Parts: sequence; structure tokens; C-alpha cells
Amino acid sequence: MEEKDSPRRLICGRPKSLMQAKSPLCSGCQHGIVGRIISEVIDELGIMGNVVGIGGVGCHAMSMFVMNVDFVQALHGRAPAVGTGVKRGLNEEAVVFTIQGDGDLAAIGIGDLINATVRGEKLTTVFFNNAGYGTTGGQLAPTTLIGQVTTTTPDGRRPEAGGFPIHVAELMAGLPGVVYSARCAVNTLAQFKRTKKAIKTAFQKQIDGIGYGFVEVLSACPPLLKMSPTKAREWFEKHMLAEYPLGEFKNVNEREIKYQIEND
Amino acid sequence: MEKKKKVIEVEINKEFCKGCSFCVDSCPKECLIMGEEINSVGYNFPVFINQEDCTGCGACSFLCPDIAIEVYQVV
Ligand code: SF4
Ligand code: SF4
Ligand code: SF4
Repeated sequence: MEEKDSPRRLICGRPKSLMQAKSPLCSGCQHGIVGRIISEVIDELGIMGNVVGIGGVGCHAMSMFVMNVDFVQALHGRAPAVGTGVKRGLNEEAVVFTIQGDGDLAAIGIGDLINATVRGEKLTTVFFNNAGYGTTGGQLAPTTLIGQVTTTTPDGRRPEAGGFPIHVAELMAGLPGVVYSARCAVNTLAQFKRTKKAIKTAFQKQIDGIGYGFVEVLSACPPLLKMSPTKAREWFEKHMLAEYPLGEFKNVNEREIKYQIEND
Repeated sequence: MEKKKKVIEVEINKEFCKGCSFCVDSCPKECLIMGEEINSVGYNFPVFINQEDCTGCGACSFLCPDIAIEVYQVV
């Protein structure tokens, strides 16, 4: 970087826990923004040396190659189970988070995710939802919108054959082990800030020992949609935001525990 | 007394850029345009053309999927 004669203060730039490296993702892939937000949150919470990420299988997991924190690569959909092992078996003090895409979390991994909350794990999950399988060339995922064209639904997803999009943030909010659940986007500066606040809260719930924190972040995958980044973002604003409402679905400071059977 | 105007510098790491133009679209003050030049992998990258109106809001930096933009305030 060239020398500047006047001193200056950085307003915003690359967070410490993100390496000085080129992103491995496609042009216009908003997963990069989510990885940046997680890194900023890790910096702000001062947990860089004490955090373990668990990556699922898919493009979202590429964040693990550019983040300056320890990562474990899980099998497809198994990140919450691996996170459980790290937290319970290796280091109870560590802050453990999973990053998972919609193919990973909402399809093969939905059972693992739900069971982690049923076991009462205190983990944090950031769910990257881009309404399809980007990595493998654009097939239907559980999150694909009705009518959306994918390589496996060339005429658009039809409920008779392809079922319905799953709303994971709302589902998670209904589970007693979950103390925080939100759905966010990163298409505008205001949404960026909301997403950052949500992810920070989801980490804080774990740090405070309260329970499972979950944040779904919506994005658009330009190759999946066969559109330019700008067109994909327009599509996202028109269709993804119409299907998936943004907001906080749960934010509590303690898990509700009701004993049906009292033993004395 | 006239308030001293903030002087902002926006720096683009052209080799990290993948030419998506999200920064250009998200700038509320039209301070960035996509340039004609291309980087070593073939993407056009943005140019900061309007320091006068830039407020240092950071939208261009925060919404860049490739974290190619840094915003500085000259002090
Ligand atoms: S295929 Fe889609 S999800 Fe994967 S890196 Fe490219 S834009 Fe991102
Ligand atoms: S800091 Fe804000 S006003 Fe300045 S170029 Fe970036 S988006 Fe535009
Ligand atoms: S948002 Fe980033 S990657 Fe996209 S054109 Fe601007 S600098 Fe390049």
C-alpha cells in the first residue's frame, strides 16, 4: 500500500480474524459478506483465540479457508454433532459455532440440527440460505422457492412434485433448547448492521451459557440463478424476501424448563 | 463557525475485486463507478471518483462480497 502523507483512521476494512487473502467464492456471492460479519463479531467479542468453527459441506464453508480461526470440516449436515463433540469432549470453554448452507443444514442435516437443540447444546449456528445447491451446479434444495427454476426442476418447483420451502428460523424458534433465532439479509447497509447484531447476540447467548443461538442469512447465488450479480440481487429482493420474512423470532434470556415429574 | 468537512479516502484493492458492482450500486452519493481497466484475472474494478460527496458511510466496504474496499478518515 502506498504511503500517505496525512495520518488517517480506518473507518471500515478487513477484520483481524479474516486473512489478507482473495475470497474463493464467485463474483457477487454474498456468502463473503456473511463470513466478514462473523469475523467482525469474533474481533469485537475478543474471542479469536478461543473460538472453533465447524464447517459444513458447500460454498459457505469456504469461509474457513479465509478466516484466521480454528476450523473443523464436518461431514455433510453433521456440523452440530461435531460441534457437540468439540464443546463437550475437548473444551467446554471454547466458543463453538457452525456455518452451514441450505443443502447442508436444511436437507441432510436438519435432523442433526434439531437433535443438537433437543440435547440442549449451547452452540451457535449461522445458516447461509441461498435457495439451492450452488456448489454442485444448481439443484433444488429444501429452501428453493415455489416456481424457482433449478437444474432438477427445469419447469420451476411445483409443490405436487417438489414440495414446499422450509422456514428454518421459525422452526428453530419453536424448539425449547433454542434461545435466539433470527432471519437476516445482507443486501443493504441497514440489513448488514441488523445481521451483525443478530450474529453477535447468537454468540453472546452461548458465551453467557444460556442456550442455542441460530441466525439464518439469506443471499442470492448468481450462478444458480444464471444471472449477473446485480440481476441476482434484484431477484433476491423481489422473491427471496417475499418468501422469507426477516426478523427475530425468538430472543429469551433463559430456557423455559417445566418439570412434569418432580422427584423428591 | 463553519464545521470542518470530513475528508474520506476510499481504497479499492483491485486484485481482490471480482467486478460485481455492488459497491457502485450501494453508494448513496454516487462516488464510485465501474472502471474500464481490468485486473489480472479479468474483472473490471470500481474507481473512486467523488471524494467531495463521500460521507464515509461504509456501505461500499460492508457490502463488498470480496472485502476489497477500505474506508479511511483523514485526521
Ligand atoms: S456457486 Fe453460488 S454459493 Fe457457491 S460460491 Fe458461487 S455464488 Fe456462492
Ligand atoms: S463510504 Fe459511503 S459515500 Fe463514500 S464511497 Fe463508500 S458508499 Fe459512497
Ligand atoms: S463490491 Fe467489491 S468485488 Fe464488487 S465491484 Fe465493488 S470492489 Fe469489486
